[in-house]
Amino acid sequence: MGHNIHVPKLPNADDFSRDLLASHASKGKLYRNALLITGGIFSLGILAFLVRFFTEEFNSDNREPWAYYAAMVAFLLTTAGAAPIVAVALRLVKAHWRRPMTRVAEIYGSVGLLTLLLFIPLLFLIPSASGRRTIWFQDHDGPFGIGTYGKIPGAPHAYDLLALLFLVICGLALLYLSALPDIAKLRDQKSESRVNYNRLSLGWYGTWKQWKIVNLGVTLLGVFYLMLFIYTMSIFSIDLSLSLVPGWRDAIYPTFQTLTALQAGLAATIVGLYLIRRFARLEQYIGVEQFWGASKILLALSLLWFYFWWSGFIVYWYGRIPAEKDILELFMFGPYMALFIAAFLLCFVCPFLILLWNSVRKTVWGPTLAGVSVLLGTLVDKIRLYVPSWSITDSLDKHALSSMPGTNYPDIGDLLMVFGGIAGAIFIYLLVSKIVPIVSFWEMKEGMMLRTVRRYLRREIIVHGKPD
Amino acid sequence: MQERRVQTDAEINSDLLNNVLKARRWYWPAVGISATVMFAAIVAWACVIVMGLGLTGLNRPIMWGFFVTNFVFWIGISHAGVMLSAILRLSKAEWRRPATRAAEVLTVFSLMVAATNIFMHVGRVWRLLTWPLPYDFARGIFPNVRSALIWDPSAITTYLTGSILFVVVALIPDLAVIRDRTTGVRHQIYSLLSLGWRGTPRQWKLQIVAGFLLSALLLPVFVSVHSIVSWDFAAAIAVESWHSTIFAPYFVIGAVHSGVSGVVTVMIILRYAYNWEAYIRKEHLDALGKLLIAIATAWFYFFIMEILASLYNLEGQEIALRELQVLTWPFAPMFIVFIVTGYFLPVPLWLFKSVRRSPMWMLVTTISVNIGMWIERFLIVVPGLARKQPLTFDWSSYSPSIFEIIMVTGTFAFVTLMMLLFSKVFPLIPIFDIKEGQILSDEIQIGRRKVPALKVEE
Amino acid sequence: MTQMLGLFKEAEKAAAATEALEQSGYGSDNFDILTGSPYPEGAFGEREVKHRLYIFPFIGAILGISTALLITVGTQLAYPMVTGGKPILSIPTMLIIAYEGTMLGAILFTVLGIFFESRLPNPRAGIYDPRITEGYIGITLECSEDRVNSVEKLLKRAGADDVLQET
Repeated sequence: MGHNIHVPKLPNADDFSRDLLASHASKGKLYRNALLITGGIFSLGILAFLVRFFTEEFNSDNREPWAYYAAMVAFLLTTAGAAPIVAVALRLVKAHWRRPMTRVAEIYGSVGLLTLLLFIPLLFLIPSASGRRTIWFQDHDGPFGIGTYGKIPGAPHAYDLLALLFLVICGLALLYLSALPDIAKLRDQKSESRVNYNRLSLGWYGTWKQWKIVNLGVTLLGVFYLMLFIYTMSIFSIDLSLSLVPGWRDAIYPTFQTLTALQAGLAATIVGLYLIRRFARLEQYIGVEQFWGASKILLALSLLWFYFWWSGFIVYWYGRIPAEKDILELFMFGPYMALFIAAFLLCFVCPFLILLWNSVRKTVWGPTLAGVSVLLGTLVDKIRLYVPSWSITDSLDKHALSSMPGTNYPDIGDLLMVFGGIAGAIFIYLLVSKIVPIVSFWEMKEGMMLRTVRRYLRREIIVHGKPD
Repeated sequence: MQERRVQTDAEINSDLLNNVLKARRWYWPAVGISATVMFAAIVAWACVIVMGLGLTGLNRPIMWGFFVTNFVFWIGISHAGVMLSAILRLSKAEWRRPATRAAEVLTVFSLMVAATNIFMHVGRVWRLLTWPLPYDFARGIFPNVRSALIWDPSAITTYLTGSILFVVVALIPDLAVIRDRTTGVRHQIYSLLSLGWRGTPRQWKLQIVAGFLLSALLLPVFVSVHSIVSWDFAAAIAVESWHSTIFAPYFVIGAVHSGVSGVVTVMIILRYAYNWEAYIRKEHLDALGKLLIAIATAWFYFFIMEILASLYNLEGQEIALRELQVLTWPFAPMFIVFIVTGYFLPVPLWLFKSVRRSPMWMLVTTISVNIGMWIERFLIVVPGLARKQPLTFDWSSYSPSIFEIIMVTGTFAFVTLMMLLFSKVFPLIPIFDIKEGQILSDEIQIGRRKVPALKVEE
Repeated sequence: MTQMLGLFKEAEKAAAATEALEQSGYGSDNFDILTGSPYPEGAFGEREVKHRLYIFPFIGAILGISTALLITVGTQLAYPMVTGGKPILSIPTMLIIAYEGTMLGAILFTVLGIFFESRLPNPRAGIYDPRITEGYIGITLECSEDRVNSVEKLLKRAGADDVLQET
């Protein structure tokens, strides 16, 4: 008998509605414990920050004590800031398997509020753009006063802050607009939630015009978010690390950081999807298909991680300019070599070896494991890049490092700030996940409408509608 | 898919083989013109070989000029094949179907002509037998593998071999179609070439798996080829503005930009020349236009990063070079033309659906992109060398001689000729791919609307 | 043994014919399908295609990287000359050529594997008809001389537009 191919039964909208609403309404022990633990660690992080604030000098000449804090903020921007782009990109290319993932990715945009808040202290620690190399090309009286490009008032602080502010606003707007139909659904359920869904739903009734606005708005906001993120990540990485190291001139660095962010954002989405699938008991609706689709992109991004790193490395290695050799020494083969090796393994080697095999890509655990590896690797990588940058005590008008600094090991305060920040991000995510449904109901329902199983000759086959 | 017309297999065969089985009226004149231009280039090249590179405009310090610019340009065009064929195949985009073969074939011929530019540039061509090949015989020296100029042949050989094999493997089912529709000597030749293809499920499954596997293998090669070409410039420190870490991805994204534009140009010409409106539809041009917006904007981001980083260090020599490249005659007008034709003309136009769906406007904008991208490569190569030395008496200028102009024009004629000859012998749109698209297309009823749909195996 | 080929203009009739063949005792191992374009796997109830194509790129990659490293290491050690201040065996530069060698080996062996697994070239491929590439679906099977008539009747009853034979 020839192999008769049967396709698993597709879920229906009513079952999904019931299961999603039940999951949204429940605030089980697990959820409360998670809130408590993350909230607790977050509070410890705040405490550690305050202790350091009152015991150390808080100005741009004393950046070293804040190195790990800066790395933590960079990590939050890199992971949670980039995660909404997963939803944006998958919507733009109309990947049919994106539907359970979009809300999971977009909720990360709310963590941007925390990132913005945590960024504000850093503003006081970044030196002004005068008298040193920056992309803001300030007026120079110094040794390389070669022409002037005019003063850009407030650079770099104002522009970094504004970029991050617009990014956060855009991310929140994107989350809100894409969740609007689901907020209306929660309004209609008349649940006992403390959230005022009546007001939040803004009179949504699902008219043709309202749907058009949501679809267009989500697309436009998504594109803006993508462009804003690339801009923000580029200038953030330059202003908060590259320009703080004398002699570090690296054209690919901002792009490399943006790419790392996309990889980390996808990893965060995959890991989040796994946890939601498991703990919100939505296994029926979040299947292998999502992990398989995401794993291919994660494999590509991991390869690109290596490629961007290599592009920078080979040019420095080949040229053998002393200033560039010092940069290689500082960030890769000197005081932070262990971190570099760890980041290389976790961001590239492990995800590559895990995701190389199609049989592993087609599981739930495989891409999740790769995602966890990438997230750990990204944290290590941010520490590798930001801690040395913030630990340089040379004057910033120099052309090269005068000496190789030693390794800046973290103390208990640094560890509390780093883990506190990460815990704070998870805390906010958990809170927001109880305001909007964790999986987008309207997108899932749209997907269910566009998908059917049909008999084709002697087998069953899935048919996907492609309306546009 | 929305605009697909249902056709029988016989109709598809007939339409897509219309030039293979019987030459169209314009075909031989077009071949004649391309061959003539190519012949002129060969004559010019013969003069250069006999009389030396002094016939060109190359001189200290600008030792790299038109030929190297053209080399980088054609390597760029060659990236179209893998970009469209491999990436769209892996992402299972339906709208790739008419574009893949033309893109792959353009890749093969672009790579060949890119290599030819190096042969031209070297002057005494026979010396290439001794420089990159790993043998020593009586010379007592092997090629220096530490040099980026030796990485180039390894990358180009790999990419060329891979691209040729990719085309050959995917051609087999279509060769069977031609075998079944020809008689006599042609039938025997196509029977030999089709290797006994019958169309069993095993053969089709391997064909599809081959498409995915070769795409996945060629993608990393495609990234590496142009990166290695970029490291010809970036690795060494001699020339200002070249030693930049962003060169590799910048060149790759620029190659994708010019390559995809090149494929769109070819597709529009094919649509008109072979009356393939039913196969190369406006929805395909629309999808390609949207892809081009993303690619062009990414390229522009890399371009800005490159300029920013070069000015960032505030070094006098680098700033002087950038002022030459952007603000000084004759490069200033070239820079303006490049940035307008490469980005600021096409991309705002592509934002409009009516432009994306217009074959004429897509032809104009994609040709404009390639004009801009050719000038971009020129602006990377020549100004840097013009100011290479720190001492101003070594500064110089460059103008191409008539020999260089003819030889570079000949490269365009070569690719055109090869595409024309290919189209006479093999179909430029994969027949089985179009038929598969037809089998997989379906419809879903939602309310009162019939929505176009696709059968998906998993 | 006689090779038989039933030609069907419509896919549904071809699918029904394979069912009829199975009911008559000709399992999916006994017949094969010939089509001019790829159909979804299992559409005609044909036997599952098993292949080992994925082994070939690995073998090719190993051979490729070995060859590339042999060439780069061997040639530089043969005439050791320091260029650009770099070590004789410069790992980053060797890695680049080794990478290209790996990919070339993988691609070459993949193509070899494709031909091998597709059983091509196959000059004595078996019964065939040019109408296959015009959209007809062919069901081909081998049977003994005494069963030729019954098979022909079965195929015609199932809707075959033509039935060919070859001994």
